[in-house]
Amino acid sequence: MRKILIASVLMTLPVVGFSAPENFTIDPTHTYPHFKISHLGFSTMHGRFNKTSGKLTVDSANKVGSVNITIDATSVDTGFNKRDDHLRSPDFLNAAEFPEITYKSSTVKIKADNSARVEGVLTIMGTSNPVTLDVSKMNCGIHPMDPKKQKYVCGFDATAKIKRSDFGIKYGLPAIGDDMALSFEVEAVRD
Amino acid sequence: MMNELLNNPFFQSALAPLVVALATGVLLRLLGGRWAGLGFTLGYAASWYYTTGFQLFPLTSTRKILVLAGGAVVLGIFLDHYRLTRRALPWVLAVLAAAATVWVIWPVLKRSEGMELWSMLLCTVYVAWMVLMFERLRDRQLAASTAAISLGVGTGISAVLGASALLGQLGGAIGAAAGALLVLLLFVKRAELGASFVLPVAVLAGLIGISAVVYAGLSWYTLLPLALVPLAVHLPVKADWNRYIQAVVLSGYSVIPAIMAIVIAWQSSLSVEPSLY
Repeated sequence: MRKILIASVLMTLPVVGFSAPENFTIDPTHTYPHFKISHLGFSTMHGRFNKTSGKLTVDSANKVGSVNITIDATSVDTGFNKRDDHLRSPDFLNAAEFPEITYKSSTVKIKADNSARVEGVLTIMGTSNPVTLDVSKMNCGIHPMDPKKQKYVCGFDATAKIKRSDFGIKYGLPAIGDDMALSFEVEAVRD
Repeated sequence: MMNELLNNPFFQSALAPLVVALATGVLLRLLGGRWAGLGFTLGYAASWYYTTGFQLFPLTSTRKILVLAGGAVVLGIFLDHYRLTRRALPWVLAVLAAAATVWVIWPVLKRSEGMELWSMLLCTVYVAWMVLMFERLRDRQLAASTAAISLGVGTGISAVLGASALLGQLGGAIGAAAGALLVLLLFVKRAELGASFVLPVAVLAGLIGISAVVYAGLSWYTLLPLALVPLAVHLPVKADWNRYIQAVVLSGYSVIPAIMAIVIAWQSSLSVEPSLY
């Protein structure tokens, strides 16, 4: 009995240690990058991007992964079209010329409590800078609304802080804030 | 206090180019009348420096305009120095301007198809037209400077209304720097403008106008009245009027299409519906 138990444990170890990373595709209807920024020192303005795509890989066994996200810069939305037009203009995102904002991870470390720290490069308007994402607890499981009970989803919330001037977005400084708080609600479906 | 001044859009796009263009224009005139036109370049450069800086990379469309304006200045100095006025020259310059426009709008042009592609290519005609028209004003100092003021102010205000304060400031600075040279022409003797003035003005105003359309959502038809600005200063001005009256009349001629452009841009900006969500 003891031998069988040891053999069973030994058989499962390689599966745990060397299981293949799982690939996920971002669910654009449940993934939104948000930002907030000081508006002339009076209040904090919130906005988000409505179109996001990308891929994730999660290697649960080795507690690593990767993140590759593309944000449609033209989809910026602050709830007021005229301001969104201004944000798309060369004053801010120059979205016609640089329609994509990208984030590509270099290292992902998933902690024991399923939170994670993602280091990577954020590229806005052709300017790339290292940005670290702090990921709150990653939650994975079968989607409860899926009738076939096959749709495996991982989701998490992430935050980061950047200075827009680091990306060459200098319009309105210092009146319009330089510090931007980013937050991401992300859901991805296993391929 | 100093930082507040340097960050003030009025200082960046009106006061700085005006004062620097005037001061350097007066000094450059001492080297010879035809160098006075370079005062525009220096005044405009001051505005550009305070507004967005001289950083060139990554090479955005706005920074391409800076590069091309620099090229236009060098070419203008060359043309002035050798007094080149060959018949084909304006057409050669227009073709170069069209090619420059393609370079500036390339990021959008390469993604365009069908009607959008053709409308993009029409942008090249606008800049080529500006270069052709201003080249015809090379030896008409008052007409060139008044047209430059109106075109700069018209392009600048239209760009602001079209949703880019940056392009608006860069457009307005053309008017301010050109205004300094008009003062120079009116009150200081031995000042000439030449190709080193008209070529950068045409390239800058043309490309900023196009950029406002392609990158900032300014309605394309706003450019139609702006295209009339360098044409308007060909309206009759009596030769026996003194130069002050001529300047006022030419300003009046050129400012009308500029105001038309501003009104069109204003109307277009009003038509934007507020967001429903």
